[in-house]
Amino acid sequence: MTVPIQSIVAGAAMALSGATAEPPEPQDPQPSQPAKNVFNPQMSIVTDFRGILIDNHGEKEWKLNELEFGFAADVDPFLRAEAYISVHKSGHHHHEEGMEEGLDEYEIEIEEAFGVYSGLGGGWQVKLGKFAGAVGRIQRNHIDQLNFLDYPFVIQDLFGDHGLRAPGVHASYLFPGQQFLELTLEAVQAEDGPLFEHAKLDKPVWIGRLRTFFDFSEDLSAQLGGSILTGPRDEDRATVFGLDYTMKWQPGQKGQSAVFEAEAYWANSNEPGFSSTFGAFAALTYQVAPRVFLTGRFDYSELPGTSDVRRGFGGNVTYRLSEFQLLRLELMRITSNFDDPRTVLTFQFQYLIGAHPAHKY
Amino acid sequence: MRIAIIASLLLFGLTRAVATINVVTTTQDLASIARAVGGSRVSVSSIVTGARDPHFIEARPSYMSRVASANLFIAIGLDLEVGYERPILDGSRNRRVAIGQPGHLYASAGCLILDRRTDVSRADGDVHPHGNPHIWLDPYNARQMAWNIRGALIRVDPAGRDDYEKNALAFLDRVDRAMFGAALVDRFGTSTLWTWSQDGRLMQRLRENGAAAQLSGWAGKMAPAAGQAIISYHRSWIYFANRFGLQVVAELEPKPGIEPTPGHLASVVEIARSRNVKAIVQEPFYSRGAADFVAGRTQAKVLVLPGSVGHTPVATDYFKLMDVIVDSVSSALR
Ligand SMILES: [Zn+2]
Repeated sequence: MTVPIQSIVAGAAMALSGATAEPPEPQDPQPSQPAKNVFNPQMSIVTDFRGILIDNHGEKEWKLNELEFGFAADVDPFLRAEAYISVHKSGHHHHEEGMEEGLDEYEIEIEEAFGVYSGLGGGWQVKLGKFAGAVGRIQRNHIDQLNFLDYPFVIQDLFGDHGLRAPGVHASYLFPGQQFLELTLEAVQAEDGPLFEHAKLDKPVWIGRLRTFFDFSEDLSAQLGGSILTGPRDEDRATVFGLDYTMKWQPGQKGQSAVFEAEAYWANSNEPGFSSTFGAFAALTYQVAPRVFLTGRFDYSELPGTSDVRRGFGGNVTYRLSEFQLLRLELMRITSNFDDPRTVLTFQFQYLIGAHPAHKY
Repeated sequence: MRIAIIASLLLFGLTRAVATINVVTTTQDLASIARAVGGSRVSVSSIVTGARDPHFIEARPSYMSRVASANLFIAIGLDLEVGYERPILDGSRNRRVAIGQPGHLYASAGCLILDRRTDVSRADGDVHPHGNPHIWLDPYNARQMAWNIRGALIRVDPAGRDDYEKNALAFLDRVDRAMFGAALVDRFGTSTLWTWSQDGRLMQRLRENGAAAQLSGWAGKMAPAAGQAIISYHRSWIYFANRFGLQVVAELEPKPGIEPTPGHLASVVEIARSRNVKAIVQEPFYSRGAADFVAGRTQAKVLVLPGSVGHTPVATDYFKLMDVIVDSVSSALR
């Protein structure tokens, strides 16, 4: 191992003893990296494998639910690019049983592919491409960052199974000062979903979001966000108001933590006959041992344009053997206005290979 | 008159505000060194606070706000902060401190790096290809980091060059004297002493020069323990061990970042017995169960020690941190 010890120490000693020579800068200013990979994007693959162990409305089955490929790299000193490509079972809508009967096809979806400029100065950040809309907190996370199997019902019922992911432009502004306050504005051409329909470049879904953050103590923190969406619903307009609150207790002691996540949405439309809908989600995850997490979740969702209401109660136990894999057992009881109660017990096995995952709040 | 006083106060306040260089570091060790080198020209805060594992920090939005106004961002590098550095920097939208800019520093540059690997696999746990990032418990690396911080501060605040030079040299001198004792520093000079230490022949050379009795400081306290075996929870003590001639013969974690397993602990007990291990060291944020398990079956003693500044109330700066560690390890290995 070659360490420039002599030069540095000698230099410092000389300087101390009154000589004019300065200790030189280190010879090796950056940790050396394996050169062959330097220009390859950071790549990760999340594999999500599930077993439906109990389902009184459907088949018991094993399924390779999803593979998600993630790529990230700096394009140049100004632009960073990220892409997430998902290969998942096609046509699976949990509330539309029978749909997937006989379908064993996978579809490839570009969930996100965007470039982001973070160094514009003045607190601005601009994103171009297809990205997860600034709606709440949970739906912007990828499947490996959820504390439960799927996105909250209200997200699925308003924006689609995978949330609101659409091409468009994003600009966000971080207000100066110690108190975190961020304003986001987006115009996206959302795909036809349960709520928004026929969005175009000149008839986009507009999204505004404001979020703030509180450090109550070193261990206890919270994020509060509010989102507003307005966009076309066929020839009419639909509007959504959302509130999201996340609270985390993270003492330094390893193996202890608790996370509370809650989101609520109010949707409305001037479409004739559309009655306003409400949906909400709450989950509490408690780390009971270094590797073991317990989550309880509650879902409520009035489906837009219908008189159906989905309710879900459930919970899971998650075993994280390392930062890169988990085993989960989630039990959900789901009721709806037009169906018998459904009970589903799902086993999930998920692992990540490749780049180290980001520790997002 | 009153107006003049108010005006001068305002002006003074204004110039003070302009002159203060805002430094954000990831770890508290870096903050301690940056405070020493920056002196009164800087205001320093760290992202890691209290006793927390520096690998597992989440990119809280409040950190982004703090970094947004930073003139200098200092990280260890070597992937220690791989999970949160980039999200915090990007979220801060502060181009002055973006990676590669003058306001960004990886303080590990030029440090003595152990565990460098040419091929890595996560089968070996959460290992870092560029080397083990827990570099700061080697005082040699602390002085190198101080030197790097001096360079970065001069880059972002050239007007403070003289202060930073003076403070950095004072820090190096303080480390050298704390390490070897004033008598040896004055007699041989730091270059010679560090070279001997680096070669692992400090005691031998001192004896040859009839100066062994003059050795004091951290090296003096640790000298009788040289060659002894210790066990650590995480592979975060190898720099300390390397500098003071100890051998880390096992870790309670089967692989870095993997919780201890019963099977692995059984093998650690065997190693502790056969290598006559007297001390198991661990940071306060790990649970004591695994260490107590091994200690209960061997003659080893569990030492819950600050692995960084701020891990315990006494470890208020880099020197107090090393004092605490050296005192308790040397007395446990007596
Ligand atoms: Zn580590």
